[in-house]
Amino acid sequence: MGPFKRTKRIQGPDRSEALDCTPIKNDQIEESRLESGELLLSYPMITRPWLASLFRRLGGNSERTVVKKLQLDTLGTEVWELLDGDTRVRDVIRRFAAAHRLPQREAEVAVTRFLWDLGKRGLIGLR
Amino acid sequence: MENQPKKSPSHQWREVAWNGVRLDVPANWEIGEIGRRHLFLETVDGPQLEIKWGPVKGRFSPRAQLKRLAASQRRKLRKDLREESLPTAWARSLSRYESIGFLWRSGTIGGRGIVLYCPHCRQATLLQFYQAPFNRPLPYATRLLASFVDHTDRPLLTWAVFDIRTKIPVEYLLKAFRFEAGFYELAFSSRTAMLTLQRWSPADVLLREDGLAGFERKFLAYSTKRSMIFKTRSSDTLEVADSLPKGILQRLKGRLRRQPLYSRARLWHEADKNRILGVQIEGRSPIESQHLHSICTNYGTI
Repeated sequence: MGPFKRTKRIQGPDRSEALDCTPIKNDQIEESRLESGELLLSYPMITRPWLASLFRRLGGNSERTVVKKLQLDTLGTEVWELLDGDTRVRDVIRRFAAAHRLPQREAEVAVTRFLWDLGKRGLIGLR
Repeated sequence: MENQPKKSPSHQWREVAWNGVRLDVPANWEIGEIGRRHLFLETVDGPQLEIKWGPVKGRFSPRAQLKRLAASQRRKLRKDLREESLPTAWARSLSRYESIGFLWRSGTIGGRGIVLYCPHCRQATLLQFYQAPFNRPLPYATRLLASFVDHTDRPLLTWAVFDIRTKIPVEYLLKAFRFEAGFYELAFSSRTAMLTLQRWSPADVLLREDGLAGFERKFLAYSTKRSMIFKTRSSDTLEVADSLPKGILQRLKGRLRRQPLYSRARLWHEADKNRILGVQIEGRSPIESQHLHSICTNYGTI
């Protein structure tokens, strides 16, 4: 066995292209500001038919659409407010990094992870 | 020609030093992946350089290693990996090592690499520059290779990754590390002590509510230990030291459990950089305040 072990690398989407995307907020989201200044997002979510059926049997809400809530922390609120439908991911990162004197790469990891979470919940899409 | 070093567009370089290996890279190259003996550097345009290193037991032949490396690749790449003599400037920069150069290509990306062996520290290193399109000149390579060092004879070893810069005694060996957005941690151990370096950001958000004391209570909780005594307690620096357990029974218990008996830590706010830094040393013998101080003095961010 030589001294160099092979490193498995997963091929992801092109980084440069991903940074050029513009995040668009889901227009069905309702925002409410808490006393702390943080945002509470309320958004409709369609439950799976079998889950709706289970709720109905258990005497709960039989509607297939339920309202979910997500409370953003201070940094999450800041990033959310930067998403105006015109600003690219790259510029959101740049502004976030400048606001907190963060290294660009660290800001990129934090912001893209946050956007990925929002996307997974259907709160944003990328254009 | 690739032998002619050119300055990067920004004319800026920075130091990367990790686990014994040190080199200068263009300032826009970022660490994309990091392992105990592995660094992968990239830019927004794609991968730039990969470095792997490891100790060698017994004899080492760079040529035999290159053959093993080729054999471990998929069949297609195996055919496109071949030995290639090093450009004169590279060979001059690496004259203190036994070395062999190679070229490889896979689809639209290719690269040029070197297998190095240092007879002094008995460490082998694989460096490969990525090139797309293949055969594009590598303007930074000569300066980068000239700065490459794989061991030090000095008592302090430099560590410089992401925005962290530190120099710690060479006897501290890397045990664990974490680089997460907002929190970095490096843990080292020597024969007599364990050293932990931490770094949090952004400080303006983390300290907004309760300042450094509140942050310490929430994230580190040194002060909740009864045996901890505050040595320094200001708005931007906290230093605590663990006192020796008072009863003989407690001391014996500590010895039998093989836990560190002594601990000393400092936490401080780098207001100009918007970071919080922490250093903790634990050991089974008393920790000199000067030892903690010298480590803290050498630890900072850029």
